[in-house]
Amino acid sequence: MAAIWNAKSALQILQQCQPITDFKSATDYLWTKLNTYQLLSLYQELFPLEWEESQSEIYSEDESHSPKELEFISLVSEHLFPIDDIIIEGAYEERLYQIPVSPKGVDWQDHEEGIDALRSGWQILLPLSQSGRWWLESVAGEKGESWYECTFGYSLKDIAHPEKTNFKLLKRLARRVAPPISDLPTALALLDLETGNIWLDQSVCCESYWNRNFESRPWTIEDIKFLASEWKKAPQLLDKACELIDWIESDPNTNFSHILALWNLTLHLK
Amino acid sequence: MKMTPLEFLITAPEEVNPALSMCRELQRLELSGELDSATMKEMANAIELAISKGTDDVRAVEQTKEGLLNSRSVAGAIPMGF
Repeated sequence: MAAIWNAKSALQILQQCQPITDFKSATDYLWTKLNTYQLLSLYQELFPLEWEESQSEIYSEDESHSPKELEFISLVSEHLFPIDDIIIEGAYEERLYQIPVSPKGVDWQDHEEGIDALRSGWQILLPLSQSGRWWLESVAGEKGESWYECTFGYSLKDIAHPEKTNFKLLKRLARRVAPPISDLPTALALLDLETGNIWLDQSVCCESYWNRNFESRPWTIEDIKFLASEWKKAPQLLDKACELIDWIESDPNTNFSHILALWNLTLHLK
Repeated sequence: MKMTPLEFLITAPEEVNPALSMCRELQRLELSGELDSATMKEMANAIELAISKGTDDVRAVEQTKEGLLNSRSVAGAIPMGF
C-alpha cells in the first residue's frame, strides 16, 4: 500500500508518523486509521478494477478523508446506494465514520412543510394510514378534519378508522384487484413508514440538514451488501405507489371512491 | 505477608497503554509499506481491541490513583530526633 515512489509520497508517509504521546491523541489517531483501513479494504474488495486503475493519493494532508477514500465513497453512491451530494461534499472536511442512510421514502411527518409537502394523491390517503389519521385527528385537531373535508369532500366520520381495519385482509383483497389499486397497502405502508425497507422507513427530526439524526451503519461488507440490496427494492416500491398516486390524481373523486370501496369491504368481511 | 501500597506499585508490571503501542505498530507498518488489503482488515480488528483495552487501562489507572489519593497516611518509621 505505502510504496515510496518519490519524495512527495515519502513526505506523506512521514507526516502520518508524528509522535503520539498521550492517550487522547492515540485514540484520535486510531479512530482515523480504523476508518481509513475500513474504507480502503472495502474499496479493494468491492471495486477491484477501479482500485487498480486509480491514481488517487492514499494519504490526506490532514485528518480528513484522502482522495482515494473519497473516490470510494463516490463509487458506493454511484453503484450501490445513494449518499446525498451534500454529505459527500461534507466528507471533504469531516470524516464519515459510519454510512449515512438518509430517508428516501415519503418523509412527511417531520418534514418542515408537513402535509403540504405531499402531493394531493398522498394527502387524500391520509385518513387510511395510522399516522395520517393520527395527524389529522390529534396534531391538527379540528382544523385537520375540516381541512380534509373542505379539500376532498369526505368527512373523516365516513371513512373507517385504520385501527378498525384488518390490514392482512386488505393485503389479501388488494392482491386480487388490478393495479394500481393493488398497491394501496404499499402506499399506506410508505405513509406509515412501515414498509420494512430501511431506506423508506425513516423519519428525520431536524433543525438543519447537519443536525439531522440520520440512521447510520458501520462500514462493513455485510452492511454495505444489506444496504445495497435494500436500495434495489426501494425504487420498485416507490414506483408502485407513485402509479397509484398518479391514478388517484387523474380523477380523485371517482378513483378514491374505488379505494374506499375496497377499504370498507375489509370491514364488512370481518 | 500483606503488601504495602508502595510495594504493590513497585512490583506492578510496567506496560505502555495498548492504544499507544498500536499507534507505534501502525506507524511502523505504514513506513515499511506492509499494509495490503488483508493486513488492513486484520489491523482494523486489532485497532478496535486496542482502543477498548487502552480505555480499560486508563480507567484502571484513574481508579488506582484515586484510591491512593484517598488512602489514609500511615507512619512507616519514626523520624530521627523523635
